[in-house]
Amino acid sequence: MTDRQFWECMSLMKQGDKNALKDVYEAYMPYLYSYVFQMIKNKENAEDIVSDFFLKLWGLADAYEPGKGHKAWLIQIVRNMTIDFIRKHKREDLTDFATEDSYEEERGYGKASQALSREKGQHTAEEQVVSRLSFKEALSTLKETEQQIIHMKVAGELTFKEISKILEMPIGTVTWKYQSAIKKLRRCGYYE
Amino acid sequence: MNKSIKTELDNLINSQTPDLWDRIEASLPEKSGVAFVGTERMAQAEGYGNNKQNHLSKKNKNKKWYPVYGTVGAAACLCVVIFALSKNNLLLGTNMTETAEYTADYLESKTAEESDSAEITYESAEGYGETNYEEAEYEESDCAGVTNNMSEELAEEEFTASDFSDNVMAEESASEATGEMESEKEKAVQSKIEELSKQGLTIHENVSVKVDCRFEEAVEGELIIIYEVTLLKGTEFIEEGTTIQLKTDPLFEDSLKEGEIYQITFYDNKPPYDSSNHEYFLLKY
Repeated sequence: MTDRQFWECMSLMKQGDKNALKDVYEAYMPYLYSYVFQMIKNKENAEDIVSDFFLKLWGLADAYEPGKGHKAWLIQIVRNMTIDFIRKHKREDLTDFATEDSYEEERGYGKASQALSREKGQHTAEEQVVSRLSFKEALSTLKETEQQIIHMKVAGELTFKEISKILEMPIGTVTWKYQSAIKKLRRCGYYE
Repeated sequence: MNKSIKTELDNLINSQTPDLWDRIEASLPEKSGVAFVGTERMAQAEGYGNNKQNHLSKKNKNKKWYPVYGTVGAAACLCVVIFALSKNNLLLGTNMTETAEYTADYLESKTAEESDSAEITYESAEGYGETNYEEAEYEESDCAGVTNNMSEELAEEEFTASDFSDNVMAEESASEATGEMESEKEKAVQSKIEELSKQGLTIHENVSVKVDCRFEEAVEGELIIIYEVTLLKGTEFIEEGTTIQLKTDPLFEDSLKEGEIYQITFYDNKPPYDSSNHEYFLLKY
């Protein structure tokens, strides 16, 4: 969706057109959901946050002014909502949910990390293992921030400048982390 | 097996996404907008008779003058307000002159009354000369003034003193509380260091570092603050100039500033012989 198309949708939403919101939903729901899920590691909470986000967007349409980089704007809002959610529920044990088998199975984290640690020290064997990892598993070997950067850069097609603004990180650090993440994924057989 | 990251990521994202549209649609609040005006009604509006069309177009023609009318109206209002204000000022000026005149008259009459009463008192009482009496009264009143002033000053001093003592007490109690907190923190750090050394983990004490950047990371649903620091002095296991990421222990939250140099104590979560990824945690600074 281009900036102009997005602005048109927002204008229609301002007038109460639900189909316009559905267009935005269809275009960005997968991307936003997976971003939130990556941060919060819990299906139900991610669904709640994304639902709330679209409701918020419906309300924001009234005051929306066209500009460049609507994707960065969307991701910034959803990220802030997720951080607020985490802060709000800081004392609650979110990790209880996160350690549920569903999460482990979803991300393939356990499998991948076990496989990697088992093969540590045996370089060739490790190479064989990583080359067999699925993309989900390969992604789970990255650090949280690296995953977010890959997500925003590759799936969201954001610029490094936009990412650095969203993550409140120097642009150099963002590019460095991106390169390091790409290097790790390359070891698993995935290329840009 | 060269696979595109973009394709794989898109596939992964699409496969994970649940359908939340029904849920969202159900919770959407209605908007009183134009969009619910159906196409039929729009067509009806377009198919108005010629007279109606003319009327509408006249209306539209008139509409273009609205900003001009608005501006003229606003200017007129402004003129009225300015005129009213200037008029008011003139009136106020007259009033003030009258008031000044009245005050001067009043003061004159008051002075005359006072001198009369002074004369009467003088005659009935001690037989002092008029001038002496007046001087005496003047001095007395002056003294009274001084006394009053003094008592006011004393009161102020007392007030300030009580205020000061309150402030001092508050400061003392605050500093005591801070001191207690500091000592509790110190104890917590000491016990943590002891515990860590029992586990055989490396504690890097009083290392001079420069904070390069600070960022937040969500790990397992928890927000943690991470500082990227460069070691200005090497330790037993880390060389000088190495950049490491320091995670904050829950004991120490957001305190270090970017670009500043600190003497810090941190620990390594793995023993030195462990070749897996080492993570560093800030203990104190």
